[in-house]
Amino acid sequence: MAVETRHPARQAPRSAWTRLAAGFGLTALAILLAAAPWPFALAALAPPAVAHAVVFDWSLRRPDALPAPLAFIIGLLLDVLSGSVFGLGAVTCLAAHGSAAAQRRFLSPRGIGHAWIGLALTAVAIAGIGWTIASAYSVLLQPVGPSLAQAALTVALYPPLAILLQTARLACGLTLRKA
Amino acid sequence: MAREPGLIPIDELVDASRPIKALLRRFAYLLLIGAAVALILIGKIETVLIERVRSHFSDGVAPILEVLSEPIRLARAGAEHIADLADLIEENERLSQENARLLQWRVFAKKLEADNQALKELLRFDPGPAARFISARAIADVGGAFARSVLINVGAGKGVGAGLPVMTGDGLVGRVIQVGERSARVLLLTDIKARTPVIVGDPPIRAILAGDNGDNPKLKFIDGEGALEPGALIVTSGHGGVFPPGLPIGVVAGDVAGETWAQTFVDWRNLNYLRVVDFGDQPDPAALAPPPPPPPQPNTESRANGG
Repeated sequence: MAVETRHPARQAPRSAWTRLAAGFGLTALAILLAAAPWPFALAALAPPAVAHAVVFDWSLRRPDALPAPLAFIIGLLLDVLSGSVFGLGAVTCLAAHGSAAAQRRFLSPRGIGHAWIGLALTAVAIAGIGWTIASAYSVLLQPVGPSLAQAALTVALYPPLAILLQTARLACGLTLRKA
Repeated sequence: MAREPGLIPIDELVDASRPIKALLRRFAYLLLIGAAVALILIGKIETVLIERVRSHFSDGVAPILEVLSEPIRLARAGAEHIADLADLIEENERLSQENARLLQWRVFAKKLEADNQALKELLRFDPGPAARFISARAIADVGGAFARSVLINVGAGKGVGAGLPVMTGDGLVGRVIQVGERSARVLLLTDIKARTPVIVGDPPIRAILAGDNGDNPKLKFIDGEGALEPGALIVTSGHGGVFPPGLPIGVVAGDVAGETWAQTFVDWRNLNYLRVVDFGDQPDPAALAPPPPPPPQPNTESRANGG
């Protein structure tokens, strides 16, 4: 009788709670780390940029670990932390999640390069949504520069964040290694 | 098996909930976006409630943010230390020259201090209570594209109150807008909502310093016709009672595209240690100014006499 041996990574699927804890916990940790006072020019834009990139990646690769309601809560975390328009982060995080979900069938089997292009389009759309809501909320045309800079930072941060998240998913047993 | 009257089997209940679940899943995004829009509206109406939620949350995450920001502070201090070591000789030379210059200024300052004291005695000037300083550390830089604020690691427990000015050794940073027990939020001068009455240069010209979420705020509503001299000092005017007068902010950078820009003394990329300053109750300079002369009345008496 042949003995079935399991690859260490090919373990039984993690429980739903473990997956959700990993998805939410890693995203929240990434946002809190980004909120630290980094000595860089665009440091103030880092928390939303990181949130959008990480939510996009989870929604693309493991939507079961970060479903839309958790993306909404992540957005609220961003709102409470930022002191900006309350609810805006929830809208933009849902937009990132929804955009990845809409592109999932095309982007999911492909590599990080394709995902990067998908994220770039999403980041520009989010900048437009955010700018429109913030301008309407304050009844004042907001400067476009910071929104575009935030989109550019989201695009720039995505590749290292995607690699880190993939490594974390492997470590948590949420992704199967290629045989 | 006969079903008991009034009881629905669990299988039927599960089956009945399936379409609802499918419907919720299908419209999850719409429902959540609706909830987010509702929160935006609530945030617009119930600002006090939202601020309370924010300050409680900030208090909760302040210890985590403090721990997470510590390695960055250490790395920054280490990098500064290495940079200092690299140009130690040049720095020493510069400091020796500066010390010689400051010793000359010291004599002059002593004389001015004596003059100032004598004049205060002459005017029976009441300097008011001495300023109280509360040291703080920036633990999060969290503005985003539409706000500029930092969280600091002291709150009401250490005597921080809403509206107090926050400074670095270089100049004014902003003011406290939200206070928790262990943390507070500081609205920076560069925030798009920040409007600071200032005095520019000598002779003093009144203006409003307006943030635009960039690093350099603009000068608006400039009193008088002439353009402001680049390099002219900008200090708070104290009008409106938001800030006490005389707090240094920066200098006039120049005119670009019809706007006058300011260069702040504070380096926004290196907000680390801050001081919350309690100056006590400061009188509004507008209230101290003499009332404007009454408008000239037509001299009816002389007309009556003369006519």
